[in-house]
Amino acid sequence: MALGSRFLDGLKKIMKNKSTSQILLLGIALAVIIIFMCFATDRFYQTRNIMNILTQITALGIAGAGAAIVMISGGIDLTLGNIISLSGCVTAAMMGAGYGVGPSVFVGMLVAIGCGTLNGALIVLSKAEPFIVTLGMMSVYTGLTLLVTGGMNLPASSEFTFGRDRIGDILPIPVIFLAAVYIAVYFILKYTKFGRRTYAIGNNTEAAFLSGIKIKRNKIYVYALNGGLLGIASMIMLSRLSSANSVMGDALLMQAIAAAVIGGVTLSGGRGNIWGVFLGTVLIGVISNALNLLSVASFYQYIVLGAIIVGAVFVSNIGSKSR
Amino acid sequence: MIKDKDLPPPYNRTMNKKASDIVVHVEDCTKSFSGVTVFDRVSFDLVAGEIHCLVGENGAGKSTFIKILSGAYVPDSGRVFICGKEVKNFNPDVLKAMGVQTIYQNQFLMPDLSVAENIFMGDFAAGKKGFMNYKKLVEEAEKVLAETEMDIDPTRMLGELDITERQAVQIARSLAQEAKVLILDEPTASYGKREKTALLKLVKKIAAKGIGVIYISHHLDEVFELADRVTIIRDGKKIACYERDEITEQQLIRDMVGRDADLFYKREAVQLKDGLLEVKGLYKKNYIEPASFTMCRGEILGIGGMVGSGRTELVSLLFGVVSPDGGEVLINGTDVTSKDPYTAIKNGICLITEDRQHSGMFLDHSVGWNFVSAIINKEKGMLLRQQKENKVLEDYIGRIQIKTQGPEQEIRFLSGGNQQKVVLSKWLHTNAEVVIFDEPTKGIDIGAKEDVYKLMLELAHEGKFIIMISSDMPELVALSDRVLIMKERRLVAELSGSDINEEKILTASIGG
Repeated sequence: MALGSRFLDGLKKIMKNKSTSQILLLGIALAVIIIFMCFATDRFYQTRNIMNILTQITALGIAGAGAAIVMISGGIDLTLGNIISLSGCVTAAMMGAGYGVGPSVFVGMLVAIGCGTLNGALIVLSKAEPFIVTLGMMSVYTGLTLLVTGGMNLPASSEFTFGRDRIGDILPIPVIFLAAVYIAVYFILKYTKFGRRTYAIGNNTEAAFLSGIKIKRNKIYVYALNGGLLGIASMIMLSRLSSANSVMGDALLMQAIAAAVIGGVTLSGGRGNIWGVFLGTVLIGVISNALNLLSVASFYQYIVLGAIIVGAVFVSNIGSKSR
Repeated sequence: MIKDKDLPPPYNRTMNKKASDIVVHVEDCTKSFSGVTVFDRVSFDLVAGEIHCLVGENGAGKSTFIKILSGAYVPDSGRVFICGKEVKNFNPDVLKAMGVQTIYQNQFLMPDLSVAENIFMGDFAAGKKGFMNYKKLVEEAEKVLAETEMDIDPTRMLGELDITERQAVQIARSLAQEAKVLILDEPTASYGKREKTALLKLVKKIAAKGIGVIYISHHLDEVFELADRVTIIRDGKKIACYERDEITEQQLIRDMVGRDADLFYKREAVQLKDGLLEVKGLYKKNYIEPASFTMCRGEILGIGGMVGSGRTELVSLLFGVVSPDGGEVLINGTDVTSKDPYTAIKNGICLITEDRQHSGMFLDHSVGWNFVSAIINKEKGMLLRQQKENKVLEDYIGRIQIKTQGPEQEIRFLSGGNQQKVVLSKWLHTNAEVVIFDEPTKGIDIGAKEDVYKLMLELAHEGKFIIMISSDMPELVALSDRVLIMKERRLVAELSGSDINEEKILTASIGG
């Protein structure tokens, strides 16, 4: 009895808080799907399949973390898919030109961080909406990528295989990256001044400025960090696919922003929890895996993903005032 | 209907007006908000062709009155007649339809549309259903513009006009909607001398056409230039109504002040300490004229003046919200001029802004979260130690009695007074030498007010430099060691000792 009421109190507290309540709902939705899948097919609940899902969502999850940070600061980066493509293609091109894995990856990461920083600098200097600035930059980065590839598929070096390797034949290396990135981002957002400033800017830019936050500098850091995360996502994709092309990151734009939104990050900024984004990513991965296992045509998967995004927005706006 | 015999004596006698000339008649109007009466049994009349000026301190109830007349507020009791018809349904559209037009500064004007389109914005009545008839629009616009006697081509883009012409367009817009009553709220607040003269001329012309004008201004020179009659409001009550010839500036100001001395907070004296804050010729073009003053440690320096006189702008320069063009700020000879808030905080300056909701708090986050939002930008280091800071916050919670469940509670659930205390703690925690308050007790209850005053005195004891902007006259008079007065973006007077009283402050703030 006492335990029950304490449980209810805890639940009430969680439901009162917007971000934790959304995470709870996400967890429940995820559990329902997983339980359903366990009964629907015996191929779902197998270590191999679970690890498959996790490997498949690695790049998405890392890009989603970047998108979440940018959105928490009140911005958005539409170039995320293009940065992944550009960075991957540059790396593959260097490998093709005979450079070693190390230098190629280094330059690929620099390209990604550079593109992110450039986005941030342009947004800060133009004082324009991040949406418009990055919309324009999408085209710039696409053009650059095509210049690098000449429209061809670029093979990666045969030594660049970490994305397909597993530890002890079970744990895929990308999953370790995914975990490391999420722990690092969690730490940055929660325990560093940079993270706190990022929330502050997104929540109330005016008050943030008056509290002594250097808004412009901080925003550029946010976009640069996003670029770095996209670089990691790109390297993992490149080594998994063992080749790069100019559209390799395109599908991630929609999915990464979806993962952040499903996870409770708002476009208006200032709110959001990185674990929510993680659950959002897993939800997208599990649903797409489930639909595959149930042999649902991929056309329907688009419809389902879209419906989930809209549904998540509905849920997260329950209780907020409407006009 | 109002009959001739119902008219109060002054104006059926001296002005020789008939009842049918009365365009606004207000009887015993009262309005209160959550138990506080802000407008108390006021009666008021406006005759066609008359310019009736409304004067009073900040917060005396002028805006409330305008909002009732324009339909934004519904009075709790009392009656309002427009052109003899009683207003039953208070709502902006109804009042507009009855002929009451209110003009705020540059409201609803679209710079990228033509003058004619601006004049008929919202009802392009000249056109057939759904379609624009530009020719007719321009013709109609020419007609109403002619009424203002300003030479404006209706096909010009509004953005090309100067501010007097824009004002004329707004007035023309009101005329197009068949205004019987025109309300002008502080129309000259940001005007230079030349524009002001042009506007006053325009207002007189409009009145001469038989439109009743209610004119609100903080500038007594304008009032004496324009008014046929002047009504004085204080603490939501109508104090007096005079014909222009019956009154002097001194009498006007005396009527605007005159509070009971019991209302004033009684502060203890604080020994001033060595240490000097010097502001020398601090200015920014088109923002603040060069300002200079000095103050001692432990002093509370009040800044008075009417809303819009440049008080907030002056402290914005001190705190670096806006980077100054020139001048310097020194603490004991050390340069602390700040180009942005970051530098200002490092220099030991802090600013508690007037608008907590908009610029003081992070509403989505907790009390503790808000508490550290400034200190993290002053101290070095990358890491955030929220738990450690929360312990410090607990001290503040006890010391200045913040009513909260603790550092984890979201700040939005606190009352206004307690939110203000959290904001205060946030800034005190940065250990600032110069503490600037912009309207420190706006929108907070009496008990919390006293707590804020006590805290200010405590800070004075500690030897801080305290600068306080206040529109709350008793607060300004009771707490300040000295008062600087701002008017039209410059410092115009300094009052100290027994000169700090309502009458002197108002004379310096609005006198001609």
